[in-house]
Amino acid sequence: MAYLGYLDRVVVSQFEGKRFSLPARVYARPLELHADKVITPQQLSFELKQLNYVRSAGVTGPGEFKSSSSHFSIFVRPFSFWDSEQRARHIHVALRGNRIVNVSDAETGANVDLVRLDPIRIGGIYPNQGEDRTLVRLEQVPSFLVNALVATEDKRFYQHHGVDPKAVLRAFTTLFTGQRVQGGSTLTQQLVKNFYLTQERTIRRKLKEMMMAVLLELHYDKEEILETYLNEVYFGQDRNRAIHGFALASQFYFSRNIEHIELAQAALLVGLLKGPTYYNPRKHPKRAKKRRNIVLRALRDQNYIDKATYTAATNATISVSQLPDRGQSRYPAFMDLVIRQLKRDYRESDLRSEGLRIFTSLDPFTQHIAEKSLTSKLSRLEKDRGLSAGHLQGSVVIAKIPDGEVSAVVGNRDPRYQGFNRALDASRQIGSLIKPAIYLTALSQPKNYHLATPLNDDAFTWQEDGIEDWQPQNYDKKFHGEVPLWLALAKSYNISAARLGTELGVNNVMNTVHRLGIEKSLPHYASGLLGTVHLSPYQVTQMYHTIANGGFHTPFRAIRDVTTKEGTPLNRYNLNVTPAVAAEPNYLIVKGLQQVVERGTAAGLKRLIPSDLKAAGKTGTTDNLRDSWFAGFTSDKVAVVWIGNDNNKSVKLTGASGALKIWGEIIRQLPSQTVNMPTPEAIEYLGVDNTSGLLSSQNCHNTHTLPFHQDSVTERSNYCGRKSTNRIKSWFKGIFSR
Amino acid sequence: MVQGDIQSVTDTVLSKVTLMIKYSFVAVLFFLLSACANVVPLSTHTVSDNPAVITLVDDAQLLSDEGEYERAKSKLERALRLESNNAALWFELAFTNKEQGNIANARSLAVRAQRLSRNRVLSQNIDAFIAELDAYK
Repeated sequence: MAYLGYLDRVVVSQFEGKRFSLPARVYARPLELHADKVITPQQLSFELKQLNYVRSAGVTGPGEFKSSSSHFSIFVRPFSFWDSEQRARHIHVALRGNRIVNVSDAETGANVDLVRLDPIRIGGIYPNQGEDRTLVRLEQVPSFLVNALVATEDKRFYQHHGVDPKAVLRAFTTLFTGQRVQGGSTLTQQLVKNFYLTQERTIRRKLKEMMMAVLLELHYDKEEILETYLNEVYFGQDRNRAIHGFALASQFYFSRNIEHIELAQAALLVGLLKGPTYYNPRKHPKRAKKRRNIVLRALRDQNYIDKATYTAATNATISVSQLPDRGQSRYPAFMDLVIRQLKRDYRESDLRSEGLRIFTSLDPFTQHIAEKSLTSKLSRLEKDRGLSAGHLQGSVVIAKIPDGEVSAVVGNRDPRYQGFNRALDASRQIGSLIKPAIYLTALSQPKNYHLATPLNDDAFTWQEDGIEDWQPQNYDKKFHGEVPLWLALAKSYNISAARLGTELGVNNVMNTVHRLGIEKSLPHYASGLLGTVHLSPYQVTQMYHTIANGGFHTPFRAIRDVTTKEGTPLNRYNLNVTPAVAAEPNYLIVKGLQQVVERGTAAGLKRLIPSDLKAAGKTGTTDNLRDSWFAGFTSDKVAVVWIGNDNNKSVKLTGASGALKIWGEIIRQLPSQTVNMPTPEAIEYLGVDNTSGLLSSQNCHNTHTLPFHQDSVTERSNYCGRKSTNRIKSWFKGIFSR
Repeated sequence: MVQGDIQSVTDTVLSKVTLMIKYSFVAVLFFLLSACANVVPLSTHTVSDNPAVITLVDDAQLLSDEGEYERAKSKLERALRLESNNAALWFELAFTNKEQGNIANARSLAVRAQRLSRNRVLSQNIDAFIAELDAYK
């Protein structure tokens, strides 16, 4: 009796308590469709494929679509977002070139302002056993599915009290014959076994199972038991993720909500319970079909369905969807970032059990292009440079302007690899990528510096007490005399940058780096000016984002919002901005970085991407060619590519011959917007003589225009540069207040 | 269906009227506050030509009026993803932050709006808004 009492307490306490641990679900950003959106038909197809939308001639229900080259007909699935619901609706999307020209309602033809597709699920944060499930209420499940389950697994479910007397008798018989106990379990017993007991097959365990089943039925009604059963059962494995419950199984095998599955599909799922691996419909369609038809026959024999329905269902093909690649490891580097950000606000145990829904900023198409470009180009570069396969490693980070949302993170040339995340954790010398901070520091003093300020690029030795003399060299080992500031940046001359940096003060330059968004402590010695500073690709991206974003520091976000499993909003990650650099110097440095692409070290980019994008960027190369960097931006995104070797060996690549090519390959395939910064009021364009670099009247021949801060200009030139002296320095002294 | 359309048209008109009243109110307030300013009411100012953006801003304003600031901000951030250089949207987000009590972020967002603004009236209003925030300190 005491034992029964004990069992009773176990049964009730566990059933009443939290029945299931639900993994956090992590979603990519949803794709928003509206007139004027820039998107290629290939990208839209890619998104629909990732979402497992089914191509169908009719398009009759949610999750179906059809398309031609310039027209998509999509039945959008319903989804509950943080801020509002997207209802299921059938829409037409018309494209011209790379742009949506119209979105309309398929039924009424009326224009639709805005539609959100359901977000692609990119992973989960699973309970330790890897159990994944979606909870379902009994009333959501089609009655034919419940009928199929009862007809196949437990005919007398609604009559017995937890145990089928015939089965009890059989158990006792085996007790005397010494056979192993097999089969004959009621649904209640199966649930008890899964819930409370081990898988061992002994008489003792079988008797315990029976007692607990009876106790369970004493406390709970049939509907509660059935509902729990529907959510508990195991349907197979997806890598390290265990598929549990009919609702998730329906998604996993058919990409359909359980409410919308068909009779033959329901029968297939019920059939799978006997052996999810043996009857796996993706691997063994014949076995699965045979087993499905046994379930259908049970339905017919027990008069749940008529003969015609039976015949139609048995003739249906096994229509499983493609295996969705949604395991934990789809985007490990990005997920790593998401989990790090989540752990600041949530306990890990809650992430693994409360079924939270995490809406991230991942752009699956951008991520796909970044992965593909990195992987293919690294192999190509290894071949071209005679490097052994696998010598090069790389990383890519892409973030959106202006909101600082991280669109893509690649931490390894094998993007599925779950180990070391180079994007976040590789701390590497950044080389010339630091130079914009030097020039920005200078341009923030408009009375002293402007884009045409002549800089000295002759031999230079820096002496400081207690530190070895420092003699920076140019990459080409040459000296270039006096060069205008913008050209020194464009050509990435080291000596002029080092001279300028020391003139400005190393601390002032490092403060600029901090203002651009780098929080870690930085060196205060002169060689730091040429990039002995160590940063991760992610940090570099944040730094360049501030410049690309008009001088506003926007802390990166990988998560938009978090809701409970029911969709109740829990937490939003706000867009925060901080003015970091004044508008004028930021405008000037962007112009300088555009010249890097136009006529500087990144000119090779013009062969890879359209020149009308007016992309801006900077190459970075470190000593002995150990690191190859490119950091650049268009109007809508900043991207950073790093190539290196894990053992710090030479990669035999400069920023221009390595990372830049991958950057170009990525941007070439993504829709991008032209860099077009609004000109601050205090900026004016003036003519500069091409040969002398002197300020000149704009009407003159052989001049180009450059933007200047008004404070830089104390006198205006009415002469053409060539008429003046050829001595740059003296001429400049006459014009500018230096 | 027709009823629904009428309802939605009515909602849109109502929310636009609300928007106009709000801008007018803000503008008049600024006018009174800043004796020297030649602030012209913003009522003629349109936030965007893009129907998707207008819908989101209308929704945001209704939510904001109900005190649902987080959801309002969520809508405005969606709108900014569609038109990231729209100064009026940045200003709207600044305004919502201010309403919510996030003064520091409201100011930064207003500065962001100011740098993007190419509309004299909007610029003047942003200046007045920033001055008002600074006066809180």
